[in-house]
Amino acid sequence: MELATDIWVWVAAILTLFVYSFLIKDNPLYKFAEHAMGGLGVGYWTAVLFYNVIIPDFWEPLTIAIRKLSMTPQNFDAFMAREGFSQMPQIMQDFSPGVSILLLLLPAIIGLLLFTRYIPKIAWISRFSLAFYLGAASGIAIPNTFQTRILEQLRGTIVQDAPDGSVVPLFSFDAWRDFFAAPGIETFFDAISGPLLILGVVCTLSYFFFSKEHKGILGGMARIGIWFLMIGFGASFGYTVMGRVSLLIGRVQFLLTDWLGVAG
Amino acid sequence: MKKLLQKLLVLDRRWIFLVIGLVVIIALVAPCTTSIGITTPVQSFYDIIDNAEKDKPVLVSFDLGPSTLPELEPMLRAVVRHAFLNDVQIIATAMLIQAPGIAERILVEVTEELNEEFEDQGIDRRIEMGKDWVFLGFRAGVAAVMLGIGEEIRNVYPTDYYGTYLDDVPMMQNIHNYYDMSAVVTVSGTQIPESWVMYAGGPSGVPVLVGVTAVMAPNFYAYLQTGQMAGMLGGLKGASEYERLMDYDGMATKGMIAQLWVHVTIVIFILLGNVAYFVTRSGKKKRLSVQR
Amino acid sequence: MRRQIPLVIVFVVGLFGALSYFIMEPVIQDLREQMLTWLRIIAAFALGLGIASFLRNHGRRMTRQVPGWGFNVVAILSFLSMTFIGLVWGIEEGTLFRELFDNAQVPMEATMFSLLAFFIASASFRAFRARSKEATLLLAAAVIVMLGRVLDFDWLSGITEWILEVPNGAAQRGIIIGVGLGMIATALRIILGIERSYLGGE
Repeated sequence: MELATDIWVWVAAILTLFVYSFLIKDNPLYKFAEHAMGGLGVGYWTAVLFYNVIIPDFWEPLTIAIRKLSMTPQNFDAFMAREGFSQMPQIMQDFSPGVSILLLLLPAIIGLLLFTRYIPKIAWISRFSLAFYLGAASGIAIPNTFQTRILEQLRGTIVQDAPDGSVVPLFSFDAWRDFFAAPGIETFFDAISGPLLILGVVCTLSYFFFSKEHKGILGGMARIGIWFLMIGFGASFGYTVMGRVSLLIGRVQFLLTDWLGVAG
Repeated sequence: MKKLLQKLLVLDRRWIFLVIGLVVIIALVAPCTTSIGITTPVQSFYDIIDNAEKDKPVLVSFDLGPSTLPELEPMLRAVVRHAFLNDVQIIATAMLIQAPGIAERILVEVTEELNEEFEDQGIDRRIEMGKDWVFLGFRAGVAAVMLGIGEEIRNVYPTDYYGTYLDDVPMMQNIHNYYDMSAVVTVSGTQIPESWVMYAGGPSGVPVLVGVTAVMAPNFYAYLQTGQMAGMLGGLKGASEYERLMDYDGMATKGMIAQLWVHVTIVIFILLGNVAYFVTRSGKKKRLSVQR
Repeated sequence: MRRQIPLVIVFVVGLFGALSYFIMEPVIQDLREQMLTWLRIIAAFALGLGIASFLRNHGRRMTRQVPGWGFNVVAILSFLSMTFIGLVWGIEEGTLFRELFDNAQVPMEATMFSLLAFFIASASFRAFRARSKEATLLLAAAVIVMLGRVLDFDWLSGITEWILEVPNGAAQRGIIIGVGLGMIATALRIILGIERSYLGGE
């Protein structure tokens, strides 16, 4: 056993224990950790946003464009060299400095207007920004969602790409032939998997089809759909247990190894 | 017996907490090992990194926050290490604002770890930023960022995390979009892997490899069957399989012993809970019918 | 005006976003590229909204001195110090900002989520019952997956993988397609101005 000597390891360990104290009951130590965590997290966001987005995406190109407009070519070159800018910002490679400034300021203004929602009298202005954002996000999502979630997934329910690059039907007569030629567990599962997958997809989809009452054939299919969904949720539950336990293991590993030095 | 079971049903849950805590501690301290079988999604993931062309980097997107770190860090370390050992370069990005700190730390630590190993073994090779990896940092707007990289990576990331222009980074000279990359790896506990399929893999055909938390893993099997996701590491188990393939005893391999014992404990809990429930319930039913 | 203009913006931008995917004309593609850049910049401001609402919530509780407001002070102070340290000394590896992130923020958040391991264990014991056919199916799948992922027996791993690929894969595909259709329908409703809840009240 070799206790950690790094002060930061102790900070981390003590805060970890603060959080675990919740297991006994809710208490001020836990509440302290909970609130400090929220504050530090949002502080982290702010600084990352500043350095990773505002500076490179907005501030740098804007200042360069303004200098380009206002300075003589010699002074501008001297400025670029002094600041260590070895090339023009991407936007100025495509547009004149004036247009660049406009193209940088416009989205920033649209973005800033989002904040008017906090001022009741002019809150309606934020709708303009929101409309642009939602419109663009919805528009670009449609074709890609259709391709990824509908077309490709439906294709995968009819055919499958074999390892050798050929395309084989999911309902494979060859697999059934193999099964009847040599009945066994493996050939059985090979034969049944494709048809079961097709049945499962169709039945699960019929369960989600709410435009018609679930009676008769549709009702039967929806019922089978529920069974598939239950197996899916069961698998998800099993995996969820695994995930939560992994997080716990990670923290206990830290306490035992990095802090207390009892397990390697 | 029935009384004991009835008591069990109203047990203070803190006893259960205690048992779980003790099982984890004992499993981690005890010198046990467990064997780890390899599944197909992990093997496919490994093979793509293993066979990646040397001049076509892999884009590794760190799309995770602190809440899923213990589960996802082992797979990130394993994949980054594997790529470096194979001379495959890494372009690192972050789609979640919480991720840059985590990404930079893992890249720097794996680099230092490998360089030390090289030095100890007398191997004349050093992993270097700019030659073997470049870290680009975070950009907001997930879908817009992914689509942007598909056009020209410089439009989205004119510079790396430290402000160096991509044109001045040696390994980025001929890299413009997904067509110049061997694969996209995304490690996340969110739906972001689905976005990579939608906005990167779908349009360009670049293989999308995903490392996800166990909670997310079952949701993505439908994408594995269609090949939209070319490989998957699911949770700590996925990471431990990857470590096995690399013959490397990392964090995941060590954790799997505890994982095994906690799972067995929880299954016992489920069985006990059900036995107690049905035994005490059948008793109640009988009593009710006698009263009638 | 206040309602019509946003509807026009949403329609024009949305339609352009969807159609520009199919039109390979350089002008259209350049415009699309510009739209993506704007989207990224606005998304960054949207993240800023999160920061603002955090400050507003905690600030309000602090000024009104609601019970436990001391913790709101902790939240605001943590925020201010983290932001200050980051903006003044930088955010790279080795800075104080990163030490705070790696040794305070990360352990607290990771531990917070690991608490769920205890609660899920307790819930498994108390609530996970084979009460009906469906519940039994769910329970059986969960137990097989839980054991199949950690015990290295060929037959058990085989069954687990099969459950995940076939019945689970089918159910997940049903959900993926169903949700996909829902996403497209919602996007279309927004673009066509049928869905207007984002406009809020007058």
